Amino acid sequence: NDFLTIVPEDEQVLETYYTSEDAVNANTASLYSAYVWGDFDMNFMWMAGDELAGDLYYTYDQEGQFYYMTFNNGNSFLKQGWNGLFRVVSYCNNIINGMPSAAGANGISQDVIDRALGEARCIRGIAYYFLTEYWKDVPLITDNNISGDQVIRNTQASVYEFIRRDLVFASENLPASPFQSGRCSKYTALGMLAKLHLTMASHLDDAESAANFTAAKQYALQVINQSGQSLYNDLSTMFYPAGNNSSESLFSIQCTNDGYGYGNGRNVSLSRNALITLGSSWGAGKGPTLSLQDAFERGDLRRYYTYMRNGDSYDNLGGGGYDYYNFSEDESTETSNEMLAHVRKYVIGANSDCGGVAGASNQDAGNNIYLLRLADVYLCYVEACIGSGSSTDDATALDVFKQIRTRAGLGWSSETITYDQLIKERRVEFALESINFFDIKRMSYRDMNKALAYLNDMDRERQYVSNGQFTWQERNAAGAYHGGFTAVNPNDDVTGKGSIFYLNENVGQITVTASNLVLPIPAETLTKTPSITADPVDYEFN
Amino acid sequence: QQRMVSGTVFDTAKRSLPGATVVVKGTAKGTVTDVDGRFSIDGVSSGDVLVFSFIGMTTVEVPVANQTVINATLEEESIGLEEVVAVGYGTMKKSDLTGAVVNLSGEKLKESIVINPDQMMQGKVAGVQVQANSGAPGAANSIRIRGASSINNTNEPLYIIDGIPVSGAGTETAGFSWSGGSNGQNVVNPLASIAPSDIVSLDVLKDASATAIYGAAGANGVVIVTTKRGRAGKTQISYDGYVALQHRAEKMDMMNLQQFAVYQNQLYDEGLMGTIDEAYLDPSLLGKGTDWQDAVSEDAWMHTHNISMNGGTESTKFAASVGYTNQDGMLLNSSFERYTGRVNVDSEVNDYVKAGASLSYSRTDESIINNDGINGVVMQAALMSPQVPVYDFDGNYAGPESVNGSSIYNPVALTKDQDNTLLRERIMANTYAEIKPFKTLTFRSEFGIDRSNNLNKGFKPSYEYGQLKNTNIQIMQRQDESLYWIWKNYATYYETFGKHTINFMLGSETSKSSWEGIQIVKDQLTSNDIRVLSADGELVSNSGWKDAASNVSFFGRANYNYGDRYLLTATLRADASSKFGDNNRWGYFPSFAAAWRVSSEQFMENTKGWLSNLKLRLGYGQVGNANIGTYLYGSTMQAFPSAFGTAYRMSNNANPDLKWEASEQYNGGIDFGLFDSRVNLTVDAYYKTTKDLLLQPSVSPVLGGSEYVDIQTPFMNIGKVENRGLDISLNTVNISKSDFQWSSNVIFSLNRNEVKALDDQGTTIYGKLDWYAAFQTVSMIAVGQPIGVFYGYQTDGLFQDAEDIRTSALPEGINIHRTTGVWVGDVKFKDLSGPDGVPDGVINEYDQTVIGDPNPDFTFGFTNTFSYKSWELGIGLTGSVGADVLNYVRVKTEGLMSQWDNQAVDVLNRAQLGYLDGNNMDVENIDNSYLINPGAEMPRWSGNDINGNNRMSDRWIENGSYLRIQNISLSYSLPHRWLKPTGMSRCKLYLNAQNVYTFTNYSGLDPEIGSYNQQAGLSNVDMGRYPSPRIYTLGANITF
Amino acid sequence: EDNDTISGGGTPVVRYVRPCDVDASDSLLSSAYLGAKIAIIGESLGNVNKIYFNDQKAKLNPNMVTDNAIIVSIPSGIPNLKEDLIKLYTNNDSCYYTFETQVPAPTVNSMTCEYLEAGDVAHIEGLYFVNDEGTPLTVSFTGGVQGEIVESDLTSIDVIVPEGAERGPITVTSVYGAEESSLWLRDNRNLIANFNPDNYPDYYYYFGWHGASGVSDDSGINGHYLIINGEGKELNDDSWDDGFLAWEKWTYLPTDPDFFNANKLDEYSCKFEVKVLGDWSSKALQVIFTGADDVMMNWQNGNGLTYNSKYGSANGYVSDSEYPRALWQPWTETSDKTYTTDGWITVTIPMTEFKYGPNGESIAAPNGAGHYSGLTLFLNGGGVSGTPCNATMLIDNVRIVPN
Ligand SMILES: [Ca+2]
Ligand SMILES: [Ca+2]
Repeated sequence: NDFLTIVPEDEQVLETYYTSEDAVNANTASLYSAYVWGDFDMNFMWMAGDELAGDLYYTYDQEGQFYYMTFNNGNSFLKQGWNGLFRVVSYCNNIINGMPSAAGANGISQDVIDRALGEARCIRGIAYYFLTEYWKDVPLITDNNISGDQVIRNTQASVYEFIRRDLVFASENLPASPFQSGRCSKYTALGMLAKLHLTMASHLDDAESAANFTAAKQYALQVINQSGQSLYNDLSTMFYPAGNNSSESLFSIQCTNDGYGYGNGRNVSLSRNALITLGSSWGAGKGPTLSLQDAFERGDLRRYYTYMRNGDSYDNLGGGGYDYYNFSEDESTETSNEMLAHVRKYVIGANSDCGGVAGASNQDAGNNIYLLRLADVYLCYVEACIGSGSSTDDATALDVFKQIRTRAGLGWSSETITYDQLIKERRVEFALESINFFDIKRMSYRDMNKALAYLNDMDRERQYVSNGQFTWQERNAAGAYHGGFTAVNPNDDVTGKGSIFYLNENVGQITVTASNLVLPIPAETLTKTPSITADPVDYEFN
Repeated sequence: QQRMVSGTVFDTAKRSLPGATVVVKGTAKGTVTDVDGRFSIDGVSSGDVLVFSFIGMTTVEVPVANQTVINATLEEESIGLEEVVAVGYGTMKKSDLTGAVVNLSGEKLKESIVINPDQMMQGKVAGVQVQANSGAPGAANSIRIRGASSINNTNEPLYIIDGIPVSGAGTETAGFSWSGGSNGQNVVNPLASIAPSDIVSLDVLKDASATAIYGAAGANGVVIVTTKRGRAGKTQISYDGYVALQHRAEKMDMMNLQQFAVYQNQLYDEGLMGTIDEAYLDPSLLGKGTDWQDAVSEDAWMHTHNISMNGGTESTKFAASVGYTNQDGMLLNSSFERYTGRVNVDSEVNDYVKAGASLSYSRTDESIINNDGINGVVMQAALMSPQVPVYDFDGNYAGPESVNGSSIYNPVALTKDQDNTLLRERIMANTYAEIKPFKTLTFRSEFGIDRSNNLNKGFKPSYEYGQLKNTNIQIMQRQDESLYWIWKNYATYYETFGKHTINFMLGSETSKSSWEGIQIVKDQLTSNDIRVLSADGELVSNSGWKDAASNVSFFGRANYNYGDRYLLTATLRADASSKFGDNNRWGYFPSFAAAWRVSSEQFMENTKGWLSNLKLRLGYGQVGNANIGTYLYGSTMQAFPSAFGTAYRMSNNANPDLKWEASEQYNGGIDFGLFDSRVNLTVDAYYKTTKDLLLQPSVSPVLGGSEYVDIQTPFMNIGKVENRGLDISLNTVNISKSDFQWSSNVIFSLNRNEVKALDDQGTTIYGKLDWYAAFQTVSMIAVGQPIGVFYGYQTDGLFQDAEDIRTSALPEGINIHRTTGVWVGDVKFKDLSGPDGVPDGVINEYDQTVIGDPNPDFTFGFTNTFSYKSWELGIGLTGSVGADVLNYVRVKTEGLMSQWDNQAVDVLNRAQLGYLDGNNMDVENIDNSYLINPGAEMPRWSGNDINGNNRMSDRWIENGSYLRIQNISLSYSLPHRWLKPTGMSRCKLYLNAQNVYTFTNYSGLDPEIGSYNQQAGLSNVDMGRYPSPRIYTLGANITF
Repeated sequence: EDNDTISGGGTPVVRYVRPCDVDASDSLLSSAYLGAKIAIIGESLGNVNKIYFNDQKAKLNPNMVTDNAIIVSIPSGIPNLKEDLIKLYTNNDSCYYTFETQVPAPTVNSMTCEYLEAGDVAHIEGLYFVNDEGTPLTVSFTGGVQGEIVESDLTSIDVIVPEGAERGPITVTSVYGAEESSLWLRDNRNLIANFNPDNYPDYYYYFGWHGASGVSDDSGINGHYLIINGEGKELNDDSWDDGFLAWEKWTYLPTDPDFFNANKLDEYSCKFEVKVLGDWSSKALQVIFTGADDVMMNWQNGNGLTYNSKYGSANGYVSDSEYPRALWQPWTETSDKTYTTDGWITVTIPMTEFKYGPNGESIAAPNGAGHYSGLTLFLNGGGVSGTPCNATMLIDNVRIVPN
């Protein structure tokens, strides 16, 4: 029998794994890695988060379906996002259900076990937050080994409550400062609780709405006053590896340059072209929408770090420098896109621009992806202060609001902040970080018509056409155009020449409706778990 | 008294046999027959015995007595009832067989020119389907013996190579996916280490009563490979070799530059593109542009040489060979090179003890390019714009003039610049000793090892192709080594009492396989020149593995023969494997078979004139399959790198009750021999049920999913698959004159496959392609269906006008809109069902259905051999009827997804929009839109395809039936009078054309597709495979 | 069988040049502009592997070269020598064809300062300032005099304003033609505010509540000019000093017309001359146009001070975040975030840029017609945090002129 018993020599086996605190920590380390979040963050996160929100223009094939808000449940990126988030849940459940007894049996202290449980439940709560905000009623899974026919959806209110319990547990079991930089702390949970309660409160017709606004304020205030964390003041490295786990980060997907699936894919998928990454690059057709560009105030320092436009120059892209022009000198190397701008945020260039972790070959750049940063909690506080009203003059709200604007090189002289001002501030602060869609979701909970008007006023069909009648010298003359040039269609111009770019009039109006705000369950899941189509039920908490 | 004896040696067709060996038994005295088959030998006495032998033919002994002229007739080993067949732990006369066993030997093995031995069975064995997965040098094939029965595990047969078992499952090359071949085929041929010309016979054990002696490994059938062994007599030296030219037979019909320009104008005129490159405005000014398919293909040479020696004395015989094969691929930078060496020695120490050994060494060196899939060179070359030149005028590789999101890299450059090589070395050795204390009892002990080393190297250089650049130089190296040993002991007892003959065999076997390896990836190298792993560069990843598996078995067989009329066989094997936990480690596999040789009965005496053989066979057996990974009954913790140091996660849940996958098979057969065996017909019918499939249930993503990165559900024993079928084999000698012979061989295989059960809920298992394929599901393994049926939507033409759209079911949540919805010219899908099981006016996942079956209705082979004097002409046909193919290539070449990609010429005839008001001002009004070409079959151009025109549907399913002229060969044996001065005793020259022509309606490159990476659930999915070349060969067999 | 790119090997011959467009295939070309894509038609062109337009090498795609046609873009680079030739080369042969590479006539886009006197150096920016050896570049001024060019390159010229140069446009002439500038030297068209005294019926140099820090004509360029922050007080993010930093010219009568045709915003720019003393690093110069409905003042007719009813106070528009204006804030664009001028310069703000709120808020569109009969200049707000400074700003000649 000995001859026939072969235990792997190259892998740990479960029976003998949980023998030290380090082993427990190495197990929870898996929950932060892009390795497990990858299906969510690689494509879906920005397609849904930024394209749906009307911030990122991209119209190609299935990826463009998010921009038009007209995907069907066969969309493969939709599937990736859903699968990725449920994968995170499954990893958390695996630890929550199996680790405590196994570790306890091996004499690991209860404190260590509780802390690990705190991490797992905190992260499960975060994953469910994304799930319910995108898909509304989703199945609450605590045991992944149930049979498929037991999978049913739970109501969104149940999901909120489930998340709340996870986060409260986490806040009570996590240390005030993470035991390892980048891990969840008590304030990760509290910050997330603030956002959760704000979201719950935004359902104004809910009886607990006012109480939830209050709870959101209180949780946010704890983070503001007690976390010891502060805004990170170097916009130039905030989305570079150098900014990983900075003083502003409350929760980030940890990205490493360890091959496909381990890192941040945005440097490849969003960068304008190979001249920036000196490797793969697929972002030529993507750019900030005209409506997002319009949202930036003059002088906003964030603009330059969020997107590139004609005449911008960066010394940490392209392997030591990249000058952005709509057209390259010989006119054919680089061409403009319909937005006359390209994505800058999270794009980190070639290896020499970012400490060798550009990941331009394997989409595995080493810059973390923020899922919750302090500025978000700050602005959640402001939003909670506004509550169901239309503005606030709360002193702390004004203070944190000003801090964020000051970092952006802007001031704030008004003594109040209106809801619309807050939303606009959030839009530019978090532009292309894939969270603005949730702001729109909260707006829709407050007032669906307002949210739809907000979306439809973006006129996402607007796009520029390049006019071929201009010479290179004219196209590249100083001040020929930038983000806000005059656009005259040649047909409307007496000289017949028109502007170098003009708005394409031949594009059909795109109208967003309320049903577009809830994503469809991917076809694969419907096929494999047909019971999921049953009406959602309340979750039974025990 | 010694004298001279002379005579002639003939074959059964009364042709004289030049080059046959004639030896005086027990002496070194001997000679070789001349070109007319004549011999003379001096100093022979009356008590001597002459031994006549010839490779591939039976040996005949003739006592000299008082004769001075002795003529001998040698029979080909492959023909005749007395043929000996390997049956596992022994041999058996074919006439004594009770199971379904097919032997291929002699000339039959030489009919087609193959690089790897598994291809030798193509079209030759009923019930065996051989499909080339790829035309790349050294690529793996899919071999199915009586259909696929396993779902997750391999369906490839077990090979026993000179006593050493080798799985038919191909090994992966890691460097393939590393170098950007995203999930293309990455499996290489496991039999590549054997030179086909070393093989003397292949015995295919098809039914379970035959394979049960191999127990747990026999479920997919067993192929026993025997290499040449020595013969007593004068040492013969033979040369076998050929040189061949490979030519790309098929190309996809893609647009040339002029057509591409027309296409660009169409898109511009339809208002789908804002601007157009002025160069396209007048297509008549343009040339043909680059034909990228031509650019990546070239006529390629291959040549192979094998020199063998054969000889020995009565007591010690040897056979040795060395071989060399060099094949350049028809696509740039793919190649295969092989060195082989082999020595077999058998020695009779005395009357009681016999011992022997075989030793083989092989070294293969392959250069593997990205062949299948979207990153494969086949697809890249199809999609690359004809506007881009291969080289610019300065001689540099060119690229697209501008950098677009979907720019394709110059496939010529990429293929030539990247390296991905696989070097494999393998040593197989087997020794045995046999003791025969009594005439009836033999003990045999065998010890074998199989040791291999693989070295896989990849290199991605920096480059600049036009505007496309890469500065990150990367290198990958993977090395692994494995050692397998097996120790067999068995005893055979053989006794005849009057009409009763019994034969018992009892034995045990112990084996262990262990393997380990490392893989290292580095990037940011400073130079393209040094392509070895050195201090240069930054470490990206480093992984290692080490594992082992062991087996212990006991087995026995009993044969009973009554008067050559009634034959019984029973076997039992018990296997234990380290792959299973204590709960279910042992598996037991019995079999029973009986045969009745009707033609040997007294009452058949008067039919002997025409009925030379009639045998009925009936068999039943159980076999297993355990080709799964190790330690799947337990849970492992997988390590991976993370920002917090090494992270661990559980890989899978445990299932301590995991056990053998079991297969049960009934076989009924009938053998007819007519007219002195000029007509031989064998018909076998079988019924095979495989249950307790070792399967990882496909879990809904909501429960964690089944991807590699998921915490996987454990392997379980679930489900049941049934295969029923008919194998028919007909060998006829149609004409047998002294100068002219015509013989033919027809095989016919029919198999019906059906999944009978899956898990408790009958959860369907879906096959899917890579993410970029954009199909969520492609194929399905579902109860009541054959394995791997295609699953998707049914199409119902195109939307013709507004009315058509308004009265049809539309995709869920999609409205009428030119950019963001359904429009005229989109594909209309059939509303088959809904949540309540009835059509609901909405197209969604409920409307998916089975849209094709990749399993053929039947396959066949038809081989004809014509000989006229020294000339021989062979024609081989193979075919398959009724299998459907998913032509994924067309999703890319007709998918209309990117204005920059080249498309099939047919795309020019896609649905094009016209406007009733005659101008392009009111293009957003559906009531103003109509189809200019209402007969169009291909939908309109729709950049983001919101209607899902490109979804998995019957649009991509085609009938893959074909009839192929597999080979035509012509050979000529040189007359002896020409040979005599050279010392040659035999010289045959031949010309062969392979893959001559294929009759098919399939639109892709080749309807013979096989299983994608040998997976059962993904059969007949055409991902742009490396096309099979047409091969013209000139070869020679020479014996000295 | 298909390869028509392989030439019979003869000497290449060009028959004619035509546009690529099939609809224009019978219109032959003897010249084309830089960057234009053309088709060269001829015989035995298949072996051509290099093409020059004069001395500029064209980028040639081998797939666009066939025996009978070559499609090529004229290089964007301006020829150093105007030879009017296309030169085609094979490995052994060559062929020249007369064809003019057209370069547009010079275009004057801006002059650093439009108010210059004879002897001053004018720095002109524009395009196609081609100084051909045979036909040198010239700059002529209204009044028929030519200036001496001190230095020039393709996009800029430094020229000495000659004696006799008069108010009006200038003309730059190159070998490729001449074009009169739309800008004027000492432009006095449509002056809205020249800050000269006694401009207003009962006011001095302003017409509203505020006159900034006063006016002066010391070292001015056109009489009196406006002084903002004349005492060098500290400017910082939070300071608000309309009494000292704002200047107004409010609408006088409800019937006062707009200063320009406000239905064609995109055809006009607002210009003024400015001189910044000291390092400017805080606040924006806001340029706000108003109409009678926004703010109007009239007491000469005995109607008393008129407030606009839309705002609580007459200058309510100033801090209304939805009232559009232009913000001139050049210090935010410099690397050290401070700005000063070397003498007087001309500032040009397209009228389409009048679409920001007081703190830089984006506003969908500038005001329409009816809001352009009053003007306010105010050094305030801007929304960008700066560092406190003590800069002084001098302004003159506010005008709205065609682009
Ligand atoms: Ca339906
Ligand atoms: Ca003045």
